[in-house]
Amino acid sequence: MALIRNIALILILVLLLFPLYIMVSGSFQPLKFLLTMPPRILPVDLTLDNYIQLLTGTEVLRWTMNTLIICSGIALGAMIIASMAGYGFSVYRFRGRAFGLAFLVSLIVLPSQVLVVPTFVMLRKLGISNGFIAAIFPKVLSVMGIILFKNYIDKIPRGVIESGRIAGAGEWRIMWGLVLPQCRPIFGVIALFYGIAGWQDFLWQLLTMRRNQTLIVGLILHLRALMISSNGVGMMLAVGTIMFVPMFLIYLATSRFFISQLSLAGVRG
Amino acid sequence: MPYLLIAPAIAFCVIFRALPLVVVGGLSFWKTDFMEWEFAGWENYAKIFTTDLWQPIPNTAWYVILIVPATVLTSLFIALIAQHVSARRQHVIRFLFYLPSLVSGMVISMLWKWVFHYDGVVNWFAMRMGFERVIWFSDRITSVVPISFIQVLTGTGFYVIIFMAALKAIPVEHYDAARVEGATRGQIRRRVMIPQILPTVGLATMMITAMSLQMFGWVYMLAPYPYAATMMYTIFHEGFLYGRFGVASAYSVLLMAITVGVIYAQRRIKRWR
Repeated sequence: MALIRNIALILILVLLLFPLYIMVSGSFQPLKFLLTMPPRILPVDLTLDNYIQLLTGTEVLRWTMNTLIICSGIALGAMIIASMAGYGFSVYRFRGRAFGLAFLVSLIVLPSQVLVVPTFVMLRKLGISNGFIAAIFPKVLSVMGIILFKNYIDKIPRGVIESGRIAGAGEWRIMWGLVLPQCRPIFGVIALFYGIAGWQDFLWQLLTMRRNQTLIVGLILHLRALMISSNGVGMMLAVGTIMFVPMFLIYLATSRFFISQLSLAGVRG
Repeated sequence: MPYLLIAPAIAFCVIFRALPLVVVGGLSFWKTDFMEWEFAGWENYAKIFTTDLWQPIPNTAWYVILIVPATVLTSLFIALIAQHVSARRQHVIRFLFYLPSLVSGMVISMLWKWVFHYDGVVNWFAMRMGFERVIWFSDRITSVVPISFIQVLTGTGFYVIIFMAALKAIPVEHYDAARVEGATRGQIRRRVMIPQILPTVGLATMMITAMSLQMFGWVYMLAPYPYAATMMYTIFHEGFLYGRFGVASAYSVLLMAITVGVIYAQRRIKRWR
């Protein structure tokens, strides 16, 4: 029984990880590796050709730069907006507080995909539908992040804030110097998840980054068109590997934290 | 001071959530090409129900029907199996199962295209076993089935992690009590584990349903446009390839109504239980 269980588990894992393996190993091999039947599992002649072609034939460095700008823009924006709002909702009691919270939370169920068309039309009317502003700004609001910050700051003893006030620190000093530095895990969660979202999102980047192009846009607009004829597939696998490596390193470094946050998100709902 | 702090959040929410919501409703009553705008009344909605634009709705339903139960059952099955291995190995399992979610779906979809190519791996095996070769991604069935399979495969990891966490959260006393009462392993699984994680299963079902309703990436990369398109793909196609923002908006409203309706219905079922 235990044997069958383990075999089932390993089989499923192999199936799940197989595409990943083919992507990485395929990016270091000539294309004929993919075209022989039956497929060869072990790499035969390793080469850097795909990467060299990518560097010389495309603007992969600029794509990478643009992707990094978008990711850090989204992560940074999400952290700033969510931490400020979370702090405001947690520390102060003011008119419209309950309404403000309810307003933010009520729009959480709204599937973001269906707002793609109107958001794009709006930005186009303003003439800014193509560029970093359009790629970053609609993505930075994190209601989940606001709630995470609020709940976290709720647990910090009010005495901390009171003592700050008695010592004569201004409200901004108390917030940036005293309270928010204690929220490091929440900053981490938001940076992680929003950075990754920016790294992987493709529909919105496909619409807003046609001119400047990110890794994923270059992949779809340039390499997909090349396909088999001029080694587009090999270069696609190389781009996929380039995109995978930083994610893998971050995941490796934070996996315990990452997985526990994922689990929390799921169980808490 | 507090208003200053929450102002950015509220402003972004108004500009990028509430306002588009109003705009999408308004746009859905306009007929638009890239340049010309003209009031159209219910024409856009009528178009969805009377022309080829109807096709993606049953398609999307098929994706939901194929993907949701398969993903829930597979990940639940894996999570239950994983309960029998040591805590150290459980960590490894969690790590490995989430790994595929980090890979760009776009690249992976090219690999799947190769796997399902006419001269590809699947057909090669089929031929070896004496079946006819199939031209994959040529019509509805040959697209919906493999795409659902791919989605189940890549979507499972996340829910494995969530179900494992839910199982871990069950108090040890429950197992002890069951064991004292002389329950077998199967009984513990059926009577203790599954009822305890039912709320999480419900939540996961809701998340997967909402996600499948909005399927786009795989379909965009793999399926030929009309046969196997989902609602989201149609929105993209009508809006951004033909510039028919009116029809795309009407479609968005419809998709939103269906998604919110499903979420609401599942919440009701949960409360009723």
